[in-house]
Amino acid sequence: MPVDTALSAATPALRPPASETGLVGWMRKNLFSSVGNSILTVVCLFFLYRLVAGALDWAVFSAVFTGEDGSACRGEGKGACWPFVKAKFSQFIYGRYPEEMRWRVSLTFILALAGIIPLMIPAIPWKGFQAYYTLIVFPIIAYWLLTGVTVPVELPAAELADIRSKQSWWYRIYSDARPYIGLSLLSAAAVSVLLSFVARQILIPQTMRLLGGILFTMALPYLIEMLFVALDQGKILGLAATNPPPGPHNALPVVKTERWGGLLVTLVVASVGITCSYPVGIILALGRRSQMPIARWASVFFIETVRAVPLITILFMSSVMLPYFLPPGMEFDKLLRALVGVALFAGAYMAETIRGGLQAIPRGQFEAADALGLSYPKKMGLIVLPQALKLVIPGIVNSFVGLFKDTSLVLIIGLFDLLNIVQFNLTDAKWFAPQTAMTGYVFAAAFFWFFCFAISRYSQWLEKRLRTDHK
Amino acid sequence: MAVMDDGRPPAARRGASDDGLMSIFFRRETRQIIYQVAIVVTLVAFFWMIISNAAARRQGRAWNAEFLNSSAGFDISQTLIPYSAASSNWDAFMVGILNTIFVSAIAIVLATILGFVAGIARLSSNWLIAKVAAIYVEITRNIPLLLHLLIWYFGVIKNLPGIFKQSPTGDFLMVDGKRVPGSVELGGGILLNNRGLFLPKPEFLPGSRTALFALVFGIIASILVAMWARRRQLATGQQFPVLWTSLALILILPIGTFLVMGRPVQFEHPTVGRFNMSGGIELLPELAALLIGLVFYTGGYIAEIVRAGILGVSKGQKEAARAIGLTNGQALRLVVIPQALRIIIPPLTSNYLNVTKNSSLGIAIGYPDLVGVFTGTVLNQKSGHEIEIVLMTMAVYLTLSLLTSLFMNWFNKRMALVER
Amino acid sequence: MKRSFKIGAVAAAAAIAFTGLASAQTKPTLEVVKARGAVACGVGPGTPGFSNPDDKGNWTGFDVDFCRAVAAAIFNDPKKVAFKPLTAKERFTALQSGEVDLLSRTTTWTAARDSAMNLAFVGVMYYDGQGFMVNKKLGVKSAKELNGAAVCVATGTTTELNLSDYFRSMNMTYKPVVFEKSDEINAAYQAGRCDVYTTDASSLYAQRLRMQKPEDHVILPEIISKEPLGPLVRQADWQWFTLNKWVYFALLNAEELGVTSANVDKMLADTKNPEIMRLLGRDKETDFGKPLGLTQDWVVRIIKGVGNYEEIYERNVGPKTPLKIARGVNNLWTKGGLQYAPPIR
Repeated sequence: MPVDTALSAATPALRPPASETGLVGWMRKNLFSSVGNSILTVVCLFFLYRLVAGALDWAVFSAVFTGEDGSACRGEGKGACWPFVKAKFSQFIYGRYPEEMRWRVSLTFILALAGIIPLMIPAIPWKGFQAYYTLIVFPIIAYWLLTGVTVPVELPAAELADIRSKQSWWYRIYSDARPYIGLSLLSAAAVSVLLSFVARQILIPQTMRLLGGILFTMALPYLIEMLFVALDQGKILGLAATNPPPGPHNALPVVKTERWGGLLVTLVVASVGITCSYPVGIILALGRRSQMPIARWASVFFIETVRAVPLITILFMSSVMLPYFLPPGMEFDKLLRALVGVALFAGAYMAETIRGGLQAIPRGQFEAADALGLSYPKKMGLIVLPQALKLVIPGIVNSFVGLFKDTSLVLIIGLFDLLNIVQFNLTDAKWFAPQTAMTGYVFAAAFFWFFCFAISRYSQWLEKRLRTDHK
Repeated sequence: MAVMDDGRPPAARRGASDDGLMSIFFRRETRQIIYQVAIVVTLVAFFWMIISNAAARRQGRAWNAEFLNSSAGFDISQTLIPYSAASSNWDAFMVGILNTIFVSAIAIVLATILGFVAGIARLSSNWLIAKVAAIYVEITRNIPLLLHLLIWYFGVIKNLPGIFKQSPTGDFLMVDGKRVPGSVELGGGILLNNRGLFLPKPEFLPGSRTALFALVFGIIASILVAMWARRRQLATGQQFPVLWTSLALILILPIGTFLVMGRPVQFEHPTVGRFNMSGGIELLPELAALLIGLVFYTGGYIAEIVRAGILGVSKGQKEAARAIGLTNGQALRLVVIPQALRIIIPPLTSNYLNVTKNSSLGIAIGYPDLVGVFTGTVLNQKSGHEIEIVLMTMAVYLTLSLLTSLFMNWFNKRMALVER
Repeated sequence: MKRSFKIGAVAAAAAIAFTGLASAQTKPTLEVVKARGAVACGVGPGTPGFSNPDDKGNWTGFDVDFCRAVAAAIFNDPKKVAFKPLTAKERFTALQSGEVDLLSRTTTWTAARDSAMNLAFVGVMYYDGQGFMVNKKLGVKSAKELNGAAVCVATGTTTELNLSDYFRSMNMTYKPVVFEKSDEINAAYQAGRCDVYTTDASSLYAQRLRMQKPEDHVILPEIISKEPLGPLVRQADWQWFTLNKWVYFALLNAEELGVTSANVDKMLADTKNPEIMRLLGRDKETDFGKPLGLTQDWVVRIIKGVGNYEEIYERNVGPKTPLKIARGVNNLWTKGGLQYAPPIR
């Protein structure tokens, strides 16, 4: 701005009038700028006061904070019944997961956070390694941790011979070789990772690291088994059962998914759903933009059908009718059925998100890839998808928020997610009180709100960051 | 789109490998055919598997629609068409569809109003209003709809007083051996309790027909006035207070006639029976909870769409409008919103479709919508027809969705014409 | 070229795999059960007295004990049951699809279910009937006074249909308030959303227990329907059907002959009664277990595992339990009830 230096030197700038600065000025400008605005402000303030006062009264001043059962919460004018939440809190988190086994769930949560938090902070390097841990290693470990591990056990020679005689010869060889398979896979993985650093000139480091990852993934189940055998026999940590039962038994007792519940189920459904929806979405999005008419029609038909119907009907389909469609003897856990439904549903929405990203890639990128003579998988995998997927990261995070909210629908098909566990506990006659229901729901709402709000804020931040990267 | 994937190998490369039969495998066309055959084979095998498995489970029971003609045998709490337990399952299906459309239609209208108000309020120059709107949007959008519904139904509506006064433990309050009516009276004979909202039911007497004529006349006259005023404005630039004239014609004229005719209407007031309320118009608490939940939830989404739409109109448009002397309101109403609508309407339509789909969550609070009645009750009562029932339900939603996208195509075309 | 062949091969393999799966023959249920090492049994998700999991996930109840009896007969271990809690909606498809081998879930025997759904009822484990529960303070003495009432009922049950039939036949009106889960119905009834709670009388007793003040609610004398409850299996497998049927009859015969879990060992050693000898498989000439696919001592296994019918009844729903339901029509025919079993001979 051009400033007349002479003038400004002669007459020092006046301070703005008091009515234009400070709190008063701010209020004049932002709250009472006109008659209409003033009326609106006053009316709004009045309602706000009523609302906030009512909510505070309910949640704090008239609320009940201590008590062993619902009797303290009964009575005229009593507000929230917080002891209910306190008493049921561990159920809300773990569902009916056996109490002495709950450390497994907690450990899974910690392992998940250990993967996700660094992944969410762009400043931390080694994203490929983190993604490998979070998307491949962690799910395998989590699966074993949550469902349980059965280990073979050293038996008296006679019994062992008896069992072995019933097994086929190749299975016998395989089961004997298991620890060695695990160890050799592990060492092969180590070698290839090592080579990726040492022999940079001869071998492509990325390929070697990828190979190492794949080998390690294959070794993982064997390693877990070895770990538990060692634990079971007291070879490490000395935790062996004093009286180990004969035969193969559970080193980590199996916990059926019927007993899973609460936050655990909510998070499992949401995270498995979003993870599986990703590949499904990519395939469908590519199919929809493919030149092959049949692939295109099939993708369009699937995407549009799934997007047109409510999630509940898909969940009904997968929970009630899936057994109808499967061959006899093929069994699907109730949780797994819900997961199939959720993944397909989320996949159709994800396909549309990714299609948006594909459309945003300039035509020149496709043409350049073609000009280099790249095949379709290489063109898509190396040129187009990396750019398109980066563009839609905020969209994917938003779908995750949507899916996270939608997981609550599994309540309707009888899975005990967080909301259903809350609802289930409301019928506990011990805690019967007028405000118990509201208290439980407000707790659930606060949880969902906090989670979704945090993620969507993160997504907005990410969006801003990605945008500056592009310009 | 077609161009992007058109990755024909360069002519030179094709020529180089053109040495006999093998070469056809390297040609894109051949490969595409093979892929497609593979897709078809897989799909056919997949569908054949599920159909044959399902058929095996049905053990020869025919796939037929006869069950639609057999009587339903159960009652439904809210029916917009005549229905009783003796009606057919097809009638139950129709009741379900109508209930879905009924609740969706009302929810769409109310949510649009709320959404526009909140969306515009978020952009208000009044800091408080903008913040309140922002908080509303952030709270409703980040809580699952199902939880909204459960809160309204089990948390709020069920805590309303019962028809009779009850203690917190469920005891009836007794005075002289009789129970005391407990409904909240909202004035005008409107009663509210945990069994719903009960309104007086108007019964029109013969004289009310004149008032109806007056109303029709008022509507036609106000349309004519509006047309005349528009033409005059275009010709002379003079404005005419169309809004006030129309209000007078549509409201005051019929009400005046109605009063002159001596108020020819009677109200049947809801009364407390031995158990239940009787008479009047009953709005189910399930309907109320579903409506309130849907409206608040969807309103948050529409607010964001509206905000994005208004922000999407370039700032210069508003400044130009203000520069030629329009007031802030006029600029918004005449310049900004018509342009914003072009951005707003496509996502708005898909949100309307979402409302229709989301109304199926009413099953959790016992509202008899399509999913509740048909995929819920009929499916349970007519076991053995699960597949037909679920497919029929899906077909209804698919049809609604198709209609919506047809509308969208029509709208986009129309907008494209308007655009210069 | 290679790639196209690969894709083709994968597609062909997929097609063959699907075909193979689709045409797999259904094995006899008993073989499937033995291979699995447990009876997959569909039960209710939480009906006190009939099927209820405790905090540790152990299932107890009248319906549950039938599953255990079958497991005891096959494996000599009543614990070898995989319980699957099923909602009213899921129960029949779960059985039809083979997800469970046996459905023991307070399910009413009706013509439609027996015929059109290709399911077979094993027997009537419990004779029930639909009743009404109201708040005492309403002063209602009979169901005939319920004209105009709001009635809470579970959707998708025979109860819902009986309710409609009853009010129509009595020329009365009512307002249905329907929910899917008994928890929701119970909560709605207690909150005064409806005046009447209707379901099978046995469940009414069970639900009343879960109320804030059970003594405030009274079950009306009218029983408006016949609700014969019993376990179901698939129609296709006669051997499995017969096995289940005779497990049920064995429970009744044992009660009739006075064989209990407490005295079964003694009876096995001492008895001179030829009927008891046949029941417990001490008859050297005829083995009644083998044709059923069981061992000769199958009844001994059942009785040791779960006891006879009377023990099951008294343990779960009888007068000494919180439900306090008298035997009534569920007594043996010799004691004036309806429970009657063909003899084992």
